[in-house]
Amino acid sequence: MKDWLDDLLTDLPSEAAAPDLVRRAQSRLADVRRAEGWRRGVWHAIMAGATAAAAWLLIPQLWSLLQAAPELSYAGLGGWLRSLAASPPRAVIEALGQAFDLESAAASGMAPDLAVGLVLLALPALYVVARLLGGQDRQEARFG
Amino acid sequence: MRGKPWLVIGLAVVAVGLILVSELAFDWGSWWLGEGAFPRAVRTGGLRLGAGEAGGLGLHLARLIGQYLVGVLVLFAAPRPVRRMADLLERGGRLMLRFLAIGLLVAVLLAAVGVAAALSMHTFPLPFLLVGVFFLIALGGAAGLTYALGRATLRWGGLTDRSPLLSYGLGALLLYALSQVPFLGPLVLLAAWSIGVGVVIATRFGSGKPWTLAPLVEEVSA
Repeated sequence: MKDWLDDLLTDLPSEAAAPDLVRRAQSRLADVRRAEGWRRGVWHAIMAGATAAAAWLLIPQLWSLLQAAPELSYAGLGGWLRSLAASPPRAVIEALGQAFDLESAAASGMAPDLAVGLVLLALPALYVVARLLGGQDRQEARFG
Repeated sequence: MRGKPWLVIGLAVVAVGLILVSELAFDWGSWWLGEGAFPRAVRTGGLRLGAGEAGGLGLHLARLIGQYLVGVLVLFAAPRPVRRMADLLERGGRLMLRFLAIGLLVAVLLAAVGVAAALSMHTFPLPFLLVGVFFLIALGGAAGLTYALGRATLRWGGLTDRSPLLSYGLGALLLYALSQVPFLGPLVLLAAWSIGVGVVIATRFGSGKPWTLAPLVEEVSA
C-alpha cells in the first residue's frame, strides 16, 4: 500500500550525483580515520607517560611495599581458628579490628608518591583493559 | 571418530607421576629463600618413601580432592557461566594471552583502587570487599579454566565429554600436577588465576554481555 510519502518521493526531480562525490566521500573517510589515529596516538602517549611516571614513583618503594605486606602463617591461622571456635563473635570482631588497624597504619604511613604512583598505574591499566575488552567484543562478533 | 582412551589415561598417569616425583624428590618448603636449593633427591642420594613422604602424599590427595569439591560447588552454582567461559577458553592461543593480560591488569587496577580507597574515611572498608570479590572472581574463572582443560583433553583423546564432573576432575588433576612442579608451579598457578580473572571479566561474570555504558545514554520509553 502506497502512502502519501511514497507519492511525494516519486514526484521529486531526480538529481544526478555530483561528479566528485566518491572522491569527496573517500577523502572525508580518510580525514575521519586520520583524526581517530591522532586521538588514539595522543591517548597512547598520555597512558605511556602515566606508566613511566608511576614506575618512577613506585620502583624505589617496591621493597618497602613488599615488606609491609602481612605475613600469613598456618600457626597464626590456627590460633585464630581456635579463638573462633571458643567465641565466634569475639574472634570475628578482633580479626576485623586487626585488619582495620593494619589498613589504618598502612594508609597513614603511606608516602604520597606511593599513593600517587599506584593511582597513576591504575589509569593505563584501566585503559588497556578497556581496549582488550573492546577487541574481545570485536573478535566475538567476527567468530559469532 | 574412534576414541583413544589410552592417551587420556597416559596423561593422567603422567600427572600422578609428576605429583609423586615433586613430593619425593624436592623440598617444597621455602625454596625461594635458598633453603633446599638442591633437590632433596640430590642431597639424600635418591628417592625415599618414609612416613613423612607418605604423609605428604596423603596431603596431596586431600588437597586435590578439596580443590575438586570446591570446583564442583562452582559448577553446580553457575553452570551456564562456566560453560560460556570454557567455550571461550577452548579457542586458546591469542585469546588466552588476552585473558592473562586482562587478569594481571585487573589485579593492578583493583590494588590501586583498594589503596586509594584506604586513604578516605568513607571508603575505608572497600579494600576488604575488593579482596573478597577478586578472590571469588579468580575462583570462578579458575574453575572454568579447569573444566575447559579437562573437556579439551577428553575430546583430544576422542572421548565423550558428557560428564562435566569427569571433565572437571581430569582438568583438576592436570592443573594440580603442573602446580606442584618446583619453580614452574607458582608460575602455573599465577597464570591460571590470572587467566581465570581475565575470562570472568571478559565475559562480564560469565553473562556473555558486553561491557558498555550505552544504557546510560540510550533513550528509554517511559
